[in-house]
Order: sequence, then structure tokens, then C-alpha cells
Amino acid sequence: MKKFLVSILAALSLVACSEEKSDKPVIKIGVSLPLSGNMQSVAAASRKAVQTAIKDANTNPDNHYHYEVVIEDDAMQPQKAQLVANKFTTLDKVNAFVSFTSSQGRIFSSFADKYETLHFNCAFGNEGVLTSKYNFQMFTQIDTEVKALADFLKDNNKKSVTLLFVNRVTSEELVKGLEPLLKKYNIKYNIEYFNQTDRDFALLIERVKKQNNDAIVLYGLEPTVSIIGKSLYADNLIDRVLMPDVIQFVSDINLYNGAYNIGSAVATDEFKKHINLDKENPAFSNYMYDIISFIVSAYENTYTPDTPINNSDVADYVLSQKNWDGVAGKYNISENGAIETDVISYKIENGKLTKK
Amino acid sequence: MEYLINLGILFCIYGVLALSLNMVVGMTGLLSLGHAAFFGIGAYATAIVMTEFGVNFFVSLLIGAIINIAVAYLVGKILSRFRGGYYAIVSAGLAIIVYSLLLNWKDLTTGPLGIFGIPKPSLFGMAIDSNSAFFVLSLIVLALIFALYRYIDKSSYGRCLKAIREDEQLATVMGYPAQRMKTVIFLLSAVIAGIAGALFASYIAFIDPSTFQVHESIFLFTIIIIGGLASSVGSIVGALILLSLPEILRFVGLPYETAAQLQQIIYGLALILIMVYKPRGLFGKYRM
Repeated sequence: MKKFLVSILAALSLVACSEEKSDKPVIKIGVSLPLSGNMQSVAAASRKAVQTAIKDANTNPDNHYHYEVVIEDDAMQPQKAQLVANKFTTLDKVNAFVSFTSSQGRIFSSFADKYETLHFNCAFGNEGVLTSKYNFQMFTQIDTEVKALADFLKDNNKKSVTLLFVNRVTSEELVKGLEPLLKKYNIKYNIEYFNQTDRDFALLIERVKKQNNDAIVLYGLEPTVSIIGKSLYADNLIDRVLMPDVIQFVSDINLYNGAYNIGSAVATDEFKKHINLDKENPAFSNYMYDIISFIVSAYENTYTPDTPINNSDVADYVLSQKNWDGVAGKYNISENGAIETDVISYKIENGKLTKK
Repeated sequence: MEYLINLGILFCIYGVLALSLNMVVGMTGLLSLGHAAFFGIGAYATAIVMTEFGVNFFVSLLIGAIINIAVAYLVGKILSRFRGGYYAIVSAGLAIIVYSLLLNWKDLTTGPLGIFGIPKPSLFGMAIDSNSAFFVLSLIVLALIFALYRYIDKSSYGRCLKAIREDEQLATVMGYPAQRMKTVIFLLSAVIAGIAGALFASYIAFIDPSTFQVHESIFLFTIIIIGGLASSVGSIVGALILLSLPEILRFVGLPYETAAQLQQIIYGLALILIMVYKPRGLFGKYRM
């Protein structure tokens, strides 16, 4: 037992000693991810993307700062997020932090306001997140995605649609945005909600079949979404399906052959290789990589020798920019702190995504 | 320090919850898995009346308590027909029903969007908006509930509850109104869980239904099992261990690749070890 403990301590001290040291001033970035719990499969790739982005920043000889990252698990729970945000701001004293999903983003944004720490949230539901100049959201924005979805339905001459949504925050915001547009375009719609904990969808699918609408907008998380996907596939309804971003985190893309995905940019094979992704789901990892790279570029561009880091200046700098190029595409920067890429439509064919 | 204060506030809130659950489970022997429901009702009552009507925190506490009494009375009536495992299943059902209501009654609760911007309490015009002040408030609440628990524990009423726990039929034959006593302790426990919910909502400033699922009830149950059934000190120590252990593990310096999973494994192992070497929990007086 003693030997075992000694070897663990030795391994831990080796890990601690192996950290790179640099003479450059240090910028600390805190990243909060749901590394345990229901969303851990989505977060695994993001962790790799963050670490790669930090490594890339530190190997760039032109950079004036040395970048350090602190990654913490918030398990997608508000009380954990509160503790992580507190740790980042009061113990780790990070210069910037990154949160994942809008519900966690709301908790971090109050800390960003209080401690004047830069906060980047990777999510597209923005209510309550962009509360001050220190808060930013880097993704496709919900209004843009909703508009793209409605336009797709209109342009493809769909007269009726079933909105098949998991009962969670993003769905609420999607419905809120979609309803007026569907009314405007004269598209008849039915809304069907399901719970993330449900596993039997026979009645739900029956209702959807009965509605016999021209299109089905499917939004959900794994494993629920794939259970529904399987049923829709079996009932030959899959080619009516449109998904806002769902393809980013499904376990088997082949289930959705014939469907469309409308939303953020999917990670390319080249990017997956760069961040050393093996079997992990690449979900949104390209955006997490971009967030870290964008934070790095903001600090580098506001660097002044022998002057202490001023987050207010960095925030002003970000807001003064119009756009920025990342691995997920070109980002447009709005005055309210929304930093968004264009919406991309993909058709899923033979297990591959083709841009439309 | 600020981080510790933050942890301290959550510890106080969960300490209050554990004490309230121990009144029902430890003191009375009722296997309740529905505590997350009362926690949620208290939190939502506070959040809704404070954000929608600008009501003071302490008034919102009262409103939450009234709602919890009404719900607990109805549920208590139903639950009093069951015992042991059946009681646990039906009470878990309550947690699921309340969670579903919080999620789907969108006009009232805003559903999965949650409620954000919940204000901090104020007392005599003085806002309790700093973490230190909130910690003092939470600590006072914890101390009061702790004292109440001890008082009930030592009172004749507490002894009756323990008699019901050991042999309800015998207690009834001896002339104790077992049903009424069980209902009263259940109501009291629900009100206290609601107070913890109100503190939670006001402190985090954002709530959504995900916090009040049945697994939260199981987490509370774990606190009192680890700390010890029917023990006030055990409830506090259990809350302290279960809240601080995952936080301590953040500082162990585990590699990022496996940190989250290793933390969960170490956490689980620690709990198993406690149960192996202390099967009644750390301060337990009775084994279920």
C-alpha cells in the first residue's frame, strides 16, 4: 500500500515538474467543461482542442505571453459551475475563462461582471449571458440558425413542419424564434416535446406520422435523439428531417442518411487530426479551439511592454473588431459580444456531410 | 478565502437539507426519496415571487413554506399508506412529478430556460449581497435548524418518532397517534427543505429544473447515510464530506486527460470505504 501511494505521489510530482516554464508574462485561462455526467462525451474533444490551442499558442515564438490553462469539470450542474467560477476568479486568478452551454454561461457571466474577467461562452442560446462588455459568445447565434432553418423550409417549398424537440433551454429558444417566422412564411407547424430521460417514443412517432408534415425539425441530445432517429429511419421519414446542430454530437451519423443538418461548422478531418481525436465525438471542438485562439489573439494584440494586463482594454479591443478567421470559419463580431460564424447547411449522404 | 466561503454557503444549504431529511429518514424511519421536490418547490417559490413580484426574500420564504406545507400535507396523506421500499418508490415518484411540473409548466416556471437574476436577500433595508454576509445568514439558518433537530430529538415527540421507527404497530397500540406524528414531521421536514431551496435560489441567482431531479434526493440520502442516520452531527459531517471531497480532489493535480473520471472513482471509493468500515455511517445511531 505504502509503495503504491509513494509511486502515485512520484507520478504526480513528475506531472507537476513537467510543466513548461517561461520568462514571458503569463496569461491564465480557465475552461469549465462537463467532463463528467451526461455531456461528457461531447466535452472530451473540447478538452483536447483547448490543450492543443494552448500548445499552439505557446509554440508560436512571436507571442508575447505564455499561456496556461486550468480545466475544471462542472458536470453541467449550476452549483458546480458556481464553485468552478469561484475557483477560477479567486484562487486561480485567471485572466479569462470559458464556459460551455448557455445555462452554465449565465452563472459565469455574473462572475465576469464582478471580477472584470473575460468570459467566452460556447453556446447559441444567449439570454442572460451577454450582460456586460466582459461577456462574449462564440458560436453560431440562435437568431441566425432559426432564420436559416425557416428559410430552408420556405425555399424548399415545405408547407408544414413538425418541431420535434427535447424539453430543454435551446429548444425553448428555437421555438421562440421559429414560431413568428413560420407564421410569416405560412408554414403550418406542430410542436412535439420529449424529455431527455424518456426512452420509449412509440406514441410520439405515431403522432408525428399522423401529422404527416412535409418536414420534421429534430433537436435533442444523445442517446434520446438517436433512439428517435432510428425510429424515423425505420419509418422512412428520415429524408424529411432537418436538424439544428444535432449532427455535431450523434453517435452514428449513418442513421441520418438523407437528412439535413443546419447550423455551426462541423470539424474537418484535418482539424480532428491536428487535435489528435481518436474515437471521441468532435462536437464543437473546432469552436473551443477557436475560442482559445481568439483569446490569445486578443491578448497579443493588446500587449504593451511593461504595462499590466488590463481586461477592460482587451474587451474594448475585441468589441472594436469586425471579424476574425478561425478553424470553424469566418466570425462576425457584434457590438453585444456575439461572435458568430455563418450557418452552414449539410446534407448527410452515405455517412458523410456534404455542404449545400 | 472567497472560494472557501462559497463552499461554506453550499455546505450550510446542504447541511440544512440533510438535517431535514434525517428528521424523516433517521428519526422516523421513513424512506423518503422525494426531498428534491420540496427543495425545488422552495427554490422556485422564492425565485418566482422575488423576480416577478419584487417580494422580499423573507416573505418569499413564508410563501414557499405555505406551498410546501400544502404539497407535503397532500403527499403525506398518500405516503402514510405505504412503508419501507414502497414508501421510497412513491416518494421518488413525487420528486419525478415535481421535476416534470417544473420542466413543463412553462407559464409559471419558464420550463427548461430556468429563472435567472434572482436577487439576494435584504434585511431591514440592508442587502445581504456579499458572499461573507450570505455565509453568515446561511450559518445562522443551519444553526437554528440544528438546534431544532436537537430539540425534537430530545423531546417526548422525538422519542415517539423513534418508537414509530422501531415498531409502528406497537407505538400505535401504546396510544401514540403515529399517523399524525408522521405527517407533522414530514410537513416540518418539507418546510425546512424549502428554506434550503430558497437560500440556494437566492445564492446561485439562477435555477433550472435540472437541479431538482430525483438524483438530488439520492445525493441527500447519501449524505445522511455517510454521516449517520438519526444523527444531527452526522448530517452536518456528511454534507461537509460529500461537498468538500470532490472540491479537494480538484487540487490533487491529476492529469487533465483523466482528472474528471479519476475524481469520480476516488470519490466513489472513499464512500465505499466509509460504508465498509462504518456501516452505520460516521455518527450513525441506527442502521436501516
